Amino acid sequence: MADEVIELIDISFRHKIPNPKFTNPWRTRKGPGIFKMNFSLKKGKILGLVGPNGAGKTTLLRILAGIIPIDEGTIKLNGVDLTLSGGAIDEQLRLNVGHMPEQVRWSGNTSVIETLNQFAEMRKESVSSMKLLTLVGLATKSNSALDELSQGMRQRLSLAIALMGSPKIILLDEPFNGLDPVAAKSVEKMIRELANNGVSIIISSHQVSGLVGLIDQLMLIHRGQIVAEGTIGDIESKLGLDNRIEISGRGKIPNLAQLFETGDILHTENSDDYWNCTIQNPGPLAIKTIIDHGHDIIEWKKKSPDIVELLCHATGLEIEDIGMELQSSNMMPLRSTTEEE
Amino acid sequence: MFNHQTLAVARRIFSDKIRSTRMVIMLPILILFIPGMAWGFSDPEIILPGGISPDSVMEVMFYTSLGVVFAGTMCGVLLSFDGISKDRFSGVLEVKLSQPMPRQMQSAGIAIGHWSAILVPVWILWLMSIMIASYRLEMSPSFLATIASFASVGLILFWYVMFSLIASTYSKDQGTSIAFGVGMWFLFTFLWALVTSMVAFASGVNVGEVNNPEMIRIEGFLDLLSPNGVFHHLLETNLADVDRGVPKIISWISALIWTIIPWFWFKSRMSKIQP
Repeated sequence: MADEVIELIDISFRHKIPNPKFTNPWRTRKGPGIFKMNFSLKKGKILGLVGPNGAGKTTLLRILAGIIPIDEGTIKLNGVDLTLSGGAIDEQLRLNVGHMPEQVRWSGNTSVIETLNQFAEMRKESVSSMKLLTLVGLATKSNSALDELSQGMRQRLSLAIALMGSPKIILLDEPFNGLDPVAAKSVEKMIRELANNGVSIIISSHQVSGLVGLIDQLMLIHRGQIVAEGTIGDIESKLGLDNRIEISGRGKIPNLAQLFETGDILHTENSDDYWNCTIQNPGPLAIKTIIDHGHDIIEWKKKSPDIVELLCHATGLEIEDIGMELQSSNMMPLRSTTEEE
Repeated sequence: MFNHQTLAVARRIFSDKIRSTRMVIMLPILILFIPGMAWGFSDPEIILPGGISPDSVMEVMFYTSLGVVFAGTMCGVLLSFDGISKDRFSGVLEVKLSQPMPRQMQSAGIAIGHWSAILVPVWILWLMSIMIASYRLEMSPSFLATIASFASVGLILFWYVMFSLIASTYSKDQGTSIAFGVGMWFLFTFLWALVTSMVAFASGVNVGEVNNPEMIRIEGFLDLLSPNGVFHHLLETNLADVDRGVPKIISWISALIWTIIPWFWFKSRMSKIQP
C-alpha cells in the first residue's frame, strides 16, 4: 500500500455531447467516457495503457492530469484522497503529475527556452530549462522559434515540460508519435531511467510493439472499461495465450495433428520449401519429436502474443471489430467485471 | 486574486501580442484613427455637422473617442478572438491546464494579458491625442477629467477583449470565434442606432425630428445596454453641457456591470473548459 503512488477507485466520467432541441439549444446528453475504473500504480513502475481509438485512454490521462473532473469515484495520491466536491481534483495532483499530451502543435515566434520558462513561471518553480532541454535533446534548438521545430522536436518540448518540477507520476500520451527510431529509443531509455529513479509512468500508445519490453504492467481498455490488467505474462495466462511456440522449418510440413495429439495447432503456413507453425502447450519433447520424424527445423521460439492479440482475446472481438468499429456517442460499457450492465 | 503567476501569464501574452504581426498591421490604423482624429478635431477652424465647433480638450477627446470605438475596439477583438481557441486546437491549452496553477489565476492572467496588449498602445495614443488637443487649443484638461477619460478608454477595450475571449472559449473553430467577435463589434458599433430608432419608433417618438428630447432620453437609456453607449456616457461625464437624462452614477454603475459580468463569465467558462 505504501508503495502505491496513485490509486483510482470506481472512477467514472462521461463526456457531455451537445444534443440541442428547439426548446433548449444548449441541451447536452451523456456520451462516451470511462466507467468504474479501478487501478493503482506503484512507485517506479511503468504502466502501458492500450486500447483502440475512442477507448478512453486520453480521457483517463486527462483525469489523472487533473484537467477534467470526475463524475464519481476517488483518486488517491500516496494514500491521500484528492477528490473535492463536484468531482474536481485537488491541485496537489497537478503538482505531482507531469503530463505530455498527444501531438501538441507548438507554434509562434516564442523561442523554445522562453516557452519552457513560461511553464516554469506557471509552476512557480525555478527550473534549469537548459538542463531539461539537454535531457530531451533540444539544447541546440533552445533559441529557435517554435515555428521552426519539426514534429519530433515539438514532442521533445512537450516531454521537457512534462518533466518539469520533478513529478512523481508522468503521463505520456503517444510519446513515440513523430519521433524517428533513434529518438524513440532515446526516449525509451529515458523512461526507463526515470522509472529507476522512482518516477511512476503511464504510457498510452498505439505502437504496441514498442511497449513490450518497456512496461511493467499493462492495462487494456476498451469502451471505457478495463478489460485486462497485470503483467503481460499474467494477462497471457489469464487469457489462455501462454505457453506457445513458433517453429519454422525447411521442406515439407510435418503432419502436426499426428505429432501433437495433446497440443493445439494455432497456425500453419506452408510454401514450397518452407513451413511455419504455432502450437500451444506442445509438451516438453515437441522439437525432438519433429526432428525424430526427419524434419528439418530452422528456428523455434516462444511466441508472445502482441498487445492487439491480447485485446482481441480480452474483449472477445475480432481485430477488425475493435479497430474499425465506429464508437457511438451513447456507447455503453462492453461488459462489467463486477456487475451486469 | 493576482499573484506572481497571474502576472507572469499576463506578461507573456502581452509581449507575444504586442510583437505580433497583427499589431504591426493594426498600429498604423490606430495612429490614423486616434491622434489623427485628435489633430483634425482640434483644428481651431473646424466646424462639425450641426455647426458644432469643439472648444475644449475634453470635447475634442469626446469626438476622438470615435477612433477608439472604430479602431481600438476592433483591434482588441482581432488580438483576442483566438486567445483560447488557438491554444485549444493546438493542444497547448491541455499542457497549460495540467499545470498546478489554479484556473482562476490562469484566466485572470489571460484576460489581463490580452487587455493590456491593446490597452498600452491605445493609452499611449490617447495621451498623445490629449497633448495634441491641448497644444492646438492652448488649454489643459482637468486632471480628474483626464483620468476619467483614460478609465473610460480602458473599460471599453476591456469589454470587447472579454467578449472575444468568452467567444473564444465556446468556439470549436477559428471562424466562429472571429465571427462572434466581429459580429458583436458590428452590432454595437453600427447597428445599435437602428435598435435605438426601432425602440423609439415603437414607443411613439418622432424619430426623424432633430433634437427631440424624448428621442434623446430613450437613446440615453438604451445606450446603457451597449458597451459603446456606456463608453460615451462615461466620456460625457466630462462635458459640461450634455444631459441625456442619465445620471453620472448610473453611467458608472452600468460600466461596473459591463465589467463584472464578462469577467466572471469568462472565469466560469475557464474553470469548466476541457481541452
